[in-house]
Amino acid sequence: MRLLLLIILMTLSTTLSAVEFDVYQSEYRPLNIALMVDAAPEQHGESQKLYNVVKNDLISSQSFKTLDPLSFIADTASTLEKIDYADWRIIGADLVAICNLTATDERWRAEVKVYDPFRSKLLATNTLIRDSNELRVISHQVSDFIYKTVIGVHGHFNSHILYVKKRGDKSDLIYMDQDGANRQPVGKNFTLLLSPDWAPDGRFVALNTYVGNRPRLETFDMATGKRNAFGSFKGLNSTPEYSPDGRYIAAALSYTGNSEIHIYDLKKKEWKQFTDHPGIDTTPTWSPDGKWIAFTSNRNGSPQIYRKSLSGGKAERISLKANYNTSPVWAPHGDRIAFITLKQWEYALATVHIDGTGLRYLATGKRIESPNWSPNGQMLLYSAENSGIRRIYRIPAWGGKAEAITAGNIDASDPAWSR
Amino acid sequence: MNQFSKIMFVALAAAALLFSGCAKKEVVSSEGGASTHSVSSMAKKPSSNSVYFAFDSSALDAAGKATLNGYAAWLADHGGVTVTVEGNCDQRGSREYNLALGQRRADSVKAYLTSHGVSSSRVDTVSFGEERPACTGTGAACWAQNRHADIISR
Repeated sequence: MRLLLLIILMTLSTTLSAVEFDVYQSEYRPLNIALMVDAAPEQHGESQKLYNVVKNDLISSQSFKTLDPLSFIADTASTLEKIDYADWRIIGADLVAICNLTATDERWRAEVKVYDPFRSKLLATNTLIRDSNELRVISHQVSDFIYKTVIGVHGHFNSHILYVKKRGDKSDLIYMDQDGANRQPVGKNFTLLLSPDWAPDGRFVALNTYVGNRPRLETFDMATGKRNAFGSFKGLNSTPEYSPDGRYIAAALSYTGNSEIHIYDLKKKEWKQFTDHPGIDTTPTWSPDGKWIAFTSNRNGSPQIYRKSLSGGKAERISLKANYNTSPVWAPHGDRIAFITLKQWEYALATVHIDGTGLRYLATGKRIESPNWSPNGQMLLYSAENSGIRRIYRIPAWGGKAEAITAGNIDASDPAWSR
Repeated sequence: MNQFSKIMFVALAAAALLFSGCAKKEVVSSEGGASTHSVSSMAKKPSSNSVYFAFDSSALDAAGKATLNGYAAWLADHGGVTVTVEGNCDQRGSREYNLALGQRRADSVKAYLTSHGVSSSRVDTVSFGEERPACTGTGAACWAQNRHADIISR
């Protein structure tokens, strides 16, 4: 009987999900890139590591596809000396990136050249230098340089990610490089840990935790592990978010008797009320110029996204469709807001222009939550549940494939990307 | 009964079985010696300490009000008792919004109690949003159990 039920449910769910879901997909085709790293035989191991880091970075961005070196006609040494564009056109390389790695005076030196074989053109060249213990950093810089040269946007490859790992009643704050390297707990044994947000300086994290069954807001010092409470009012103390200049933290407090957005001045150590409405106001997010705050409010009956100017005035509604829109996060370039929306019976990650136009659905998932932008606005993180376990996923903001960046056997939520 | 309605019947029956397996969580609370003087004229503590809500709502229904009337009477007779109202939500929707919604549910219970004579200084509130589900499964029955506010005496 169980089996029968399962079959019915499965048939039902496949028919339902097949009905309608226009997940946005751009026409964008990843560019074929021929990637080469040259180094002296003594640095063979390191040059291989650099190659792997850069390759993984470029592929993970979903903007590039690296070509198999076995398909190359020309070798690295001769290409370094003088590139023959025809050799690369014939194997369909849209781009050729070649990096010469040398070790001098306890330092790594990477000389990078990026070519466009179809226009027979050297696009850009750059020399990067890092300390001898920073091979991964210089590798990500090589990726950043290639990315910027081709896409025209800064790479996000030297950025970092935080998330919350829940085990039973306790939660740990986990740190990792954006590619998953150096993954480690930086804060342990929180009783509930929600909404961590990274300060622009990368040292402090604002978060919501519970102490003695009371919610409070704390800053967490990544360097020392020191926790400092800055909001422990009666009722709600939740959803902290740093202003772009790092001076203020907006959060939702309810000590006035109602959930409102308040702003904490880190320098003066003072709170100031920002919204004042009998509906629920929560999850503030700052515009990149620091002049607006967008937030969730149910002031018109259902949760919707609004924005309000720091200089005053009325709140303007941004989300126009659906009767459940929450968790707004303003894109670093300011053009869009990512949020969670209810579409028919499914929750979805979507983005929309500030004026409410250009709605794009990017992904659906059970308990899809907590969108967060990469510092260059090209990728989004979110969490979704699978068989009772939440995982963090990464997806291009322009539409693409969602990729899990946490394992399937740990409960991970609340991703925060460094700024 | 045609083939389709048979299948639906089986599915519904199985679903009912699944949902009923999701037991309601019992909240244990200590009462600071309040039970030692059991005078018969005194109001009895209501049998349930939970009130339930509709999706995305903090409005009290008739059953919830009945429970709270009982609590208002009981608190009137037990002047030394203070309580915390814990607001909770089901897992649908965003966790952050649900934290605020859970707070609103707790506040709505507090407002009802204070309007029925309980001093506001005796009623504390806290929201756990969807972080502490009483029923960890999914489905309408389970979600309904998780949309509650509990009165915990201290």
